[in-house]
This record gives sequence, structure tokens and C-alpha cells, in this order.
Amino acid sequence: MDVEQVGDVLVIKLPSRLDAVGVAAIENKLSETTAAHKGKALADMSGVDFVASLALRMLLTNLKAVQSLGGDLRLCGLQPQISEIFRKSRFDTLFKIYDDCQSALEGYAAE
Amino acid sequence: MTMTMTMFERLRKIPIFDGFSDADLQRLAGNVTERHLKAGEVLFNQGDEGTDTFAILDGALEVVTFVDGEEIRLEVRLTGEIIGEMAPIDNSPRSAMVRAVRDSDLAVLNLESFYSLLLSDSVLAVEMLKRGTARLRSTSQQMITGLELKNTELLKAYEDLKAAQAELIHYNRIQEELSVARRIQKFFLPRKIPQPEGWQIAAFNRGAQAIGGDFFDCIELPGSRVGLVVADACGKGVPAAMFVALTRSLLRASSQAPWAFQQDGDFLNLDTIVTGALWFTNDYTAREHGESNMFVTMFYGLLEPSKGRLTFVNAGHNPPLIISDGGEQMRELESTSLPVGIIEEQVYEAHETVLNIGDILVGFSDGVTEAMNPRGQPYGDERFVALLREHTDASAVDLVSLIVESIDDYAAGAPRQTISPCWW
Repeated sequence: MDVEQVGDVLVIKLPSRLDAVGVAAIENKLSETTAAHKGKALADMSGVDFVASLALRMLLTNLKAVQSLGGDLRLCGLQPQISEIFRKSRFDTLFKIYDDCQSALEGYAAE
Repeated sequence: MTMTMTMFERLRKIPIFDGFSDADLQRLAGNVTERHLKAGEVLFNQGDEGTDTFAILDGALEVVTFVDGEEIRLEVRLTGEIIGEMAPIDNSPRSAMVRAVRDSDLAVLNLESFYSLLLSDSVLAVEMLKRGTARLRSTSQQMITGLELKNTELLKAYEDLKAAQAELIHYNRIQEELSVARRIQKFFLPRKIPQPEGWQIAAFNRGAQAIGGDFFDCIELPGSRVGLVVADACGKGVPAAMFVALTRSLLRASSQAPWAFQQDGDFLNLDTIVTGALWFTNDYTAREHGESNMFVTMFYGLLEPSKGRLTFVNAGHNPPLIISDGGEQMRELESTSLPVGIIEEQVYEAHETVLNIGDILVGFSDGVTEAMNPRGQPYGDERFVALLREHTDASAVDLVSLIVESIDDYAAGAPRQTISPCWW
């Protein structure tokens, strides 16, 4: 999991397999990082090709945590099958989702 | 140079024979033989019989004993010293092994020569007594130290064993509890699956672990209506199972509660039952357990068997499929709301569809389509749909068996959770 700061946005690149093992490996670091940053966060999911329900839970947990601190967690670069999972579970209504990092950063900048 | 020296000359150089007159030493020299040892060569082994004593003319020998098969060097004797004196003194087998540390020359003294040596020199006798005593002390001390070490090791091994045993007991207790939990979880599935007239309903549930997060339900309601539920709590194992217990109970209880169907003596309409029960289940779960950030995807459909009308809400679950016209047509009952447990006061909107004679409605969890083969490729939606289309004439029970078989073949023994309520 790579983390970089672009302007005031924390960009987190999520690993390819977010199954139970993949989630357990990054869960704590992700919450610590987003909680410490407090503000705008963006999860770059372009490299993610599998998400288990626990991965949705991890993203939901972080979304709630950063929103309570006045920030936000947005997503970008979902592969078609991942997009489908967000659509079927209606998690697409919880997050602002962008096609790529660029448009997500522009979205943040425009506010 | 030593080669040319006589035994008398060589013995004379050794201080312990200082008390001997030349004549006595000459006599002794006549009675001794010489022995050469290569470095590493054993003079005698522990337990050997023998009464000879040895004077080291030139060389070095070590005295070695064994504790638990481990060599312990008691001492090293050098040129001019006596070795092997204990056995002739107490007439017992050798108490230790003696081995040359380097190439050594020895004078071999028989029993008679050794005694004459001792009797001729009381200082030497006392010296030997001192050595024997010192060696005894040293051996005892080394053995005690060895035993103490062994004892510490044994104590540690015993502590490790106790810890492992405690862990095993703990593990077995967890396994027992899980097996009880599995039996309990079975009661969270319907005891019997209703078969309304003109319909076949079948279902199957198998967890990837002892207990898990997938479940189905068939809730019998007045007027032969049937509530059909397929759901999946996020994650696996105990946490998921707790949310299964919670949401299944809430949904069933709120669906069957008298106020759910009666208003001024009439049944409530199906919309109100479905959306009301889901509202209650979701609101309670989100309000009381929202901090767990757990959620349950849930499809809840109320079937009115006489009309084939299905009133449903899909809260974030894999869309159930309806196959019709002998496999020619297929439609999905899309999700319209978030899963249960995420947002309080969520208002649900009921949708309606009609099942005609010959239609098949299949609800399932992602355990079906995400079952992996050994190469890590998922079973997939396409394969699943093709299977259903191919077997539209099978009975509900047979269709469920076919699905389970097909997935098991594909996953080649890798157990996955599967759940497939089917009906038509």
C-alpha cells in the first residue's frame, strides 16, 4: 500500500487482492494514515482486481472515520468487475467515485 | 635423543621417582615395559578391566568420562605424571577413559611395580591420594553441574509442554464451542421449507468455515404467502455468524409479528410487510451495532403463490435471477438499496415482479460465483447462468444438487460457501 500526498489530498494506492488476508494486511495502517491526515483522502483502486465484503467494510469504516473528522474518502480507478460489486451492493451511493486519480483530484480542487 | 636413552635414564628424569635409589630404580626399570600412543588413541576405556599404571615419559593424556552420552574432560596429565592409578588402588574397572592428546610415550607399571613405588615414597602416596580425591570432587561437581543443566532444560521442556497442553485444551474448547455454534446456527435456517401448491422450493447452505455469514430463510406467513430471504453478512466465521443470528431473527420476528399484517382486521399489503420488516431490521442493526461497521446484504421477497406475484426489496445483495421460456429469457432482480446495518432510518421501496408457470427464480450468494478453482479463477456468472439455462426442466431439488455438484467439480475439493435457494 503506497501513500503519497498530492496537494492537500492523501492518495492511497490499494493492493491488488483485497480478500480477508489482503484486508488484514493493510487495515490498521490505512485507518492510522487516514485518521492522522484528517482531511481529503483518495483511494486509488486501479490496481485492485478482487474485493471481498471485508474490503467494503474496511472502506466504510474509514469513510465514517474521516467524515467524522471533517474529511472525506473518495475512490477512483475501479476496474469493471469491482465497479460491478459497488453497483450491486449499492456502495456506489456511499462514496464519490471517479474514473481516475486526475478527475478525483480535480473534483477535490474544485471545492 | 630419547631413543638412545635407557628406561632407567628416562625414569630418573621423572621427579616422582626422586625418592628411589639408583638400585631400586634399576630394578623398577627392569620390570616396566614401554608403550607408544598416537594422538587420539585410547589407552583404555571407561569400564575396562586392568591393573596397570602408567608413567608419562613424554606426552599428554586426557581423562574423559561420559554423562548422558556426552564427553566431559576431567583433566589432562602431562610428561612426568602418573595415570591410571585408580583401578589398581581399589581393584575396580577403569573409572574413566584415557586418550592421548598428542603422540605419547608411556612406561607401563604392573601392579607389583606400582605398589613398590607407593610403599617407597609416602610423599608420592599422599600426592596420589590428593589427586584421587580432587578428581572425585571435580567429577562429582561436573556431574552435578551437568545434572543441574539437564534439570533446567527438563523444567523448561516441562513448562513448554504444559503451555502446549493448555493451548491444546484451549483449542479443543474453541472447536467444541464452534461445533455447538454450528448446531445452533442450523436452527437459524428454516426447519422445513414450505411447498406452496404449484411451487417447488429447495435450498442449500454450506459454510466455508464451521459457522459463517451466508443464510437463507423461508418465512411462512398467513394466507400461504412465503417470505424468501437470501443474505450474506460481511466477512466469515464468528463475527459474521453473530450478524446472521441478529438480522435473521429481527427480519423473521418483524415479518411474523401480528402488527405486521393486521390493520383493522385486514392483512397489510405485501409492500408494507416487506419494507416494514426490512426497515425495522436495518434500523435496529444500524442503531445498535453501527459501530461494528458490519453489514448484511439481503434480498427479501414475499411470494403470493396463487398469483405468482413477488414483492421484493434487494438490499445490496447479488441480484437473484429469473429464468423463463425454457432458458431463453433471463432477468435480474437488481439491488436498489444499501445492505442492512449501514444507515439508520433507511426507507425501502418495494418492487414487484410476476413469476409465470415454468419460471425459475434463483437466489444465491457470491460464494457460488466466486468459488475458485485451484488456479484461482472464479466459477463466474456466465458459467452459472449457462448451467441454469441448461437445466430448466429439472426439479428445484435436482437443480440445487446440480449447482452444488457443478461448483464442487469446478473448485476440485476446495470447500467454499454456497447457498442457493431455488424455486419456481
